[in-house]
Parts: sequence; structure tokens; C-alpha cells
Amino acid sequence: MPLLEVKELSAYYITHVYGVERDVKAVDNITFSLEENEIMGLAGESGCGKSTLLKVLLSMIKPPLRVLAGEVNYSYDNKHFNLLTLDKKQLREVQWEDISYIPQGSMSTLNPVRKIRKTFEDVIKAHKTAEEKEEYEKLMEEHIKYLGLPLEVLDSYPHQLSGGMRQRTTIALATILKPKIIFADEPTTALDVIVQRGVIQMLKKLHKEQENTMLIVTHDMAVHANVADRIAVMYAGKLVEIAKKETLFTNPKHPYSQFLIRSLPKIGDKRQRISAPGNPPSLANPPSGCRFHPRCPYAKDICREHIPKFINYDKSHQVACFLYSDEIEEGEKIVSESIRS
Amino acid sequence: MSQNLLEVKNLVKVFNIGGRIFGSKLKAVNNISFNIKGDNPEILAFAGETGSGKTTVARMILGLETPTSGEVIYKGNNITHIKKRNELMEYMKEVQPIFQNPFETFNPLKKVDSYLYETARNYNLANTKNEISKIIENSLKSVGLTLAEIEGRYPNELSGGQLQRVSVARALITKPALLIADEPVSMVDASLRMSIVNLFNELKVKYNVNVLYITHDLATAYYISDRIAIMLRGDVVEFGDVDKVMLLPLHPYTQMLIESVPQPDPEGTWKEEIKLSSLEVKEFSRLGCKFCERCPYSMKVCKEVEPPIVFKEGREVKCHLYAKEGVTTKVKI
Ligand SMILES: Nc1ncnc2c1ncn2[C@@H]1O[C@H](COP(=O)(O)OP(=O)(O)OP(=O)(O)O)[C@@H](O)[C@H]1O
Ligand SMILES: Nc1ncnc2c1ncn2[C@@H]1O[C@H](COP(=O)(O)OP(=O)(O)OP(=O)(O)O)[C@@H](O)[C@H]1O
Ligand SMILES: [Mg+2]
Ligand SMILES: [Mg+2]
Repeated sequence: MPLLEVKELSAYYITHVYGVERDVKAVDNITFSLEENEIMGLAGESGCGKSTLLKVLLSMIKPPLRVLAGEVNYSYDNKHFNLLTLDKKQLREVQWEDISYIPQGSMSTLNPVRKIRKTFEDVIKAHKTAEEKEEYEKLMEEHIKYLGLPLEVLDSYPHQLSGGMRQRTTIALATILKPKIIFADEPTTALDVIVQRGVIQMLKKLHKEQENTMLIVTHDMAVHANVADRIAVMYAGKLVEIAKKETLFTNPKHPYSQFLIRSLPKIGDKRQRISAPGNPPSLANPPSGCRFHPRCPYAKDICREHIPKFINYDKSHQVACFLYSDEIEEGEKIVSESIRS
Repeated sequence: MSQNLLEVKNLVKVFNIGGRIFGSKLKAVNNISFNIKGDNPEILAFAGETGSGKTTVARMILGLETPTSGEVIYKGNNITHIKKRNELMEYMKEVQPIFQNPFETFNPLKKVDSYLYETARNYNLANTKNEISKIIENSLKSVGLTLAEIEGRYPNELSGGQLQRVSVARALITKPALLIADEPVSMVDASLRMSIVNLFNELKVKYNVNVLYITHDLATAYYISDRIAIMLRGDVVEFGDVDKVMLLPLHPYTQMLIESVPQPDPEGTWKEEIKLSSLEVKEFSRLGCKFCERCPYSMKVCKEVEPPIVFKEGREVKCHLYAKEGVTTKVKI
């Protein structure tokens, strides 16, 4: 059984602007699963819903975000549950300890007016009530040392650390309780490539030793190339392709993935790179049919009218595109009608 | 026209930092000089370490941070001495910023479109609401957005990438001569990244806009810029033509940096482990070369004496290896 199984998940931001309801369809009928001990990379256009998807997978759902349909099933250590049906207390038990998160923008988990040591203590205390202070001091210091960080960071305030050190501290914090699964949102953004390399090295080390599962969101395709086993590509709230990393780089099927891979610049090569034509769609009012069709060089009539189903192109490669199958996605209509009721 | 558009002369910034661990003074920018000619518009990249002073340089050029010493001269006027509000406005109109973190640029309690209207009004660009909307709509269009999409929305209702495009659009409203873009693409996807850097190129070619492009994305820096400066702990350690610096780097730090650029190719992944400097801030206060502890070619002199800036093979390089004649030119890591 996969460690995480996401079934027909839809989550919208439902807001009212000047009395008019606006639904931002940030996560729309998404189905995929993560096997134990795998690293999946999630790529996709800015604003396509990656961070929102992570929030739902972590059940960090605050209005105006609402889950409209779907399941987020976890199975590990003989536990099986749909995260979306847990109550607050049950959630607190699994969040951080089993299901952990490295948020986009590392400053947000570190409290600017507290020393790092205090933040670590808060996290440990909240989850390991029985343990002695000395014991968690030890746990904390060992973890910091293990990750190659100087112990001085514990007695610093976040602003005293460089961006790279801060990001590595956030990772240390997210992994101190040895979670089963880690969701990392842009963990290397805004770091220089040497520090980036160090951060990736650290994530890989943790992955190996803690035998965890990871879902890493990043815009940096080179980071995906370095860490991921499989890569998922999202476009405008929908998953459009999942493939093994090698396949996705060499033989992407979805036209959006093709643009993504082809737009990558390389040092030593100044040939003009073309990005996907046209503009990213508005998720409040997405195009009919396949959401990529207005920008797709291969668009045909069916693409304007229907939503392509996320099909198995082959055993380990899924894609949602009418170039490869005529199958139509079921369900979207039902979802949009259910909001009104 | 022989006057430079921008002259940065011996710029230094020292921060006083509290805290008993790291000491109390930090030279974030250590004596930096460069020019942007302006008659032949260019894109000048600043790359290098996290925390090496790139943002501080940008903020001093923008007048947001007062230099400890040194000068920023724009079209012959020393901007650190500008006192009159209208002169300052004139300068700010021509030199526009795009900041690193859109989540910090935008006040969470303010609607994002209000920033665009404010900029247009502050600089008196148009008189009627209609004209203003048109200017705004145009600059949004050049970054792939429409007013309808962002109107009335708060920063948390937009993604990082969308916010960043709004900041580029805002900077374009005044039709500046120089854009100071501090990591304008770090929050956006690869495809949009290319469209934003291609946009910079278009601005350069069509409208003679110069761009100071601060980035960690060395592949786009190579792709788009004419010259590049590599910073390390407050120093510019290598500076020159982008092809020379990036394809045949001379400074050992530049070499390590280029070697660490991850390839978007599953075959070309990083193999060996690297060691990161542990207490990064300590290196700032080092007497000699700030890189000497991590440098594979470190010599005795490197620990004691600040390296001179040497002109070599069409670029400036701040390294003892090249200080004497007869040193091998190509160092391989
Ligand atoms: N207001 C300040 N007070 C004290 N120290 C500061 C201040 N601003 C910056 N610094 C320090 O100065 C150094 C240079 O910072 P700066 O932000 O300019 O680096 P950077 O090259 O832009 O880094 P990054 O690539 O991470 O954006 C850092 O060590 C930083 O912590
Ligand atoms: N609180 C909110 N209210 C309304 N809309 C929102 C809210 N938060 C996000 N959105 C919208 O939901 C969409 C998805 O946002 P999300 O942050 O998940 O994108 P993302 O893929 O993580 O983007 P990026 O790569 O830029 O971080 C965007 O169109 C965004 O504008
Ligand atoms: Mg995001
Ligand atoms: Mg910076």
C-alpha cells in the first residue's frame, strides 16, 4: 500500500469580492500516490497550486481555502487514516511528528524574537511530553551536530544567521522528530548554488538515514534532477504528468512539460530559449476543457470542450492530454455544482 | 556622450551587529567600484554567495541604505548628497527597484493594485484615472498579467510568482533607465523565469533600459547578461565579461561556484560531497582573503594580506594567485 494516496482531491479558495463569489480552483481533482521511501519532485508554473496542494496534504486548511472533495489517505506503521477526517487533537498528534513540513520562505517557522533553541524546545515539548529536559537537549544537540551545523545556531536569533544557515536550521527543525513524510516547499530558493548543494546533500542524508518519504516542491528543475525519483508536473490546479525523473527530462509527454524542459538555459549556450506562449490562466476563471489549450500548439477541438483524463501512458508514466488518449475526465462538473449547494 | 550612467566608487558598508557570538561589526560591502556606461545599454549580473552583500549594494544604489564610505554617482550627481525631494524623485523615477522577496515587499493588509496606482500617482505620470489605468494595464501586460486578475486582491491571495510579476510591472511604470532587480526570478518557474529575463533583454534592446540583475541562478545570468560580478563576503572577487568569467573562471571561488551549478539533467548530478563553511559570519572579519579557509590553493600570504585586484584575461580578479607574474593562468578544481 502506498504511504500516501491522494484521491480525487479538490480544494478551492472561495472568496467574495464586492459581493461576487470567486472560486480559485487551486487544486482540482488530483489523484496520485507516493510510495514509502520515495522522493517525489513537484514542479509547475508559479501560482498553479503547489503550495496549496501541500497545505491540503498537511491538513493546514484555513478559510478561504476549502476542501470540496477527495481523500488524503496515509498508511504507515499499521496506521491507516484519511487526514481530512481527523479532529484537531488527532491532527496535532500526527503533524510534525509523522507528517512534517518545510514551508516556503524559511523565516516563517522561526520566531524572530525567540532564540532558535527555544523554538526547538517548543516543538519537542509539544510532542514528547514525558521526556526530561536533559533528554531533549541532547536530542536537539545531536541532531544539529549530525546535520553538520555549528551548535552556536541554537543560541542565535534567526536574523543573526545567514539565509543558508537559516534554511538548514529549518530543515533540522522539521526533521527533529524523525517524521515519516516531509513536505518541502522551495527549500533551496534564494540560496547560492554551493549552499543549495549543501541543503540538498542534507535532505538526501536525512532521507537515507531516517528512511522517510519526501515531496519536494521547487521551480528549480536542476534540483529535481538531483534529488527526485519521480517528478509530478502541475498546471493550473491540475496534475498533468507524472514520470520517472529520467523519463520526464528526456521524453516529456505533456506539451506544458515539454515547454518547461526546453526553456531551461545552460551555461555555455546562449541560444534564445522560448517559454510557453501566452499567459498563465486565471484559476478563478480557468479555460474550458484542457486548461492548457489556449497556449498549446497542438490544441484541437476536443481540448477546448473536454478535460483530458489523467491516464497511464505506460506503467510508470501518467499524463493528461488528448494527444495520447481520448478519455475524458469524469467528475469536474459534479464538483463545481456541489459548491453551489 | 562620455558621462557614465552610474558610477559606484569605493563603496563600503559596515553594519553594527549586536550579539556576543559573532562580534559587533560586519563589513557587508568592502570597497566596491564599477561603472555602467549607459550609452550602450547592458545587463550587469551580480551573483555569488548568500549573504555576500549583493542586496546591500543594491540598497545603497537605491539610496535606501547610507554608505559607510564611498560614492554612488548617477549622471554626474552624487546621490548620497541629494537632499531636495524633487531631485530625489527624479532619481527614483529613473532607477527603479525590484526586490528579492515579494512576500516582504507587499504589505499583507494592502491590496496589491494599490502599489501600482500609488507609483503612477507619486510620479505624476498621468492626470486622469483612465490614463493611469492604461499605463498600469500596459506594464502589467508586459509581465503577463491583467488588471482584472489582481484588482482588489491582497498579497496572500496571489502566488509568489504572481506577486513578483506585479513588482516588475510596478517598476516599469515610470519607464526607468536602470532597473535594480534583486533576485527577480527566484520565486517563479523555469518557463516564466525565461520570459522575465527575456523581458529584461527586450527592455534593454527596445527601450535602452540597463538592468542590474542580482541572482543565484547562474544559468539565466549567463544567458542574459553582458558582464557579471561575483561576490564573496563583501568583496567582488571576479568581474568582467560574462563569457570569460563563467566559461573560464580564474578565482578559485568562482570556479567552485560554477562547478556547483546543478545541471537540469539527471545524468549530471552532483557526485561528491561538499563542505560548507560553518560559521559563515566569522569569515567577514578575516584579515586576508575571505576565501582562504576553503580555498584549495591557499598560501601563507592569503591568510595575512588582503589580495589585490589584478586585471587578467579581460576581467578583474581579486586573488593572490594572479598577483605575481608567471603564475599558471588556468587553475583546475
Ligand atoms: N540591516 C542589517 N543589519 C545588520 N546586518 C545586516 C543588515 N543587512 C544585511 N546585513 C548583513 O550583511 C551581510 C550581507 O547581506 P546582503 O543581504 O547584502 O547579502 P546578499 O548577497 O544579498 O545575500 P542573499 O544572496 O542571501 O540575498 C549579511 O551577512 C547580512 O546578514
Ligand atoms: N488565501 C488565498 N485566497 C485566494 N486565493 C489564493 C489564496 N492563496 C493562494 N491563492 C491563489 O491560489 C493559487 C495557487 O496558489 P499557490 O500559492 O498554491 O501557488 P504555487 O503553485 O505554490 O505558486 P508559487 O510557485 O508561485 O509559490 C494562486 O492563483 C493564488 O493566487
Ligand atoms: Mg508556492
Ligand atoms: Mg540578497
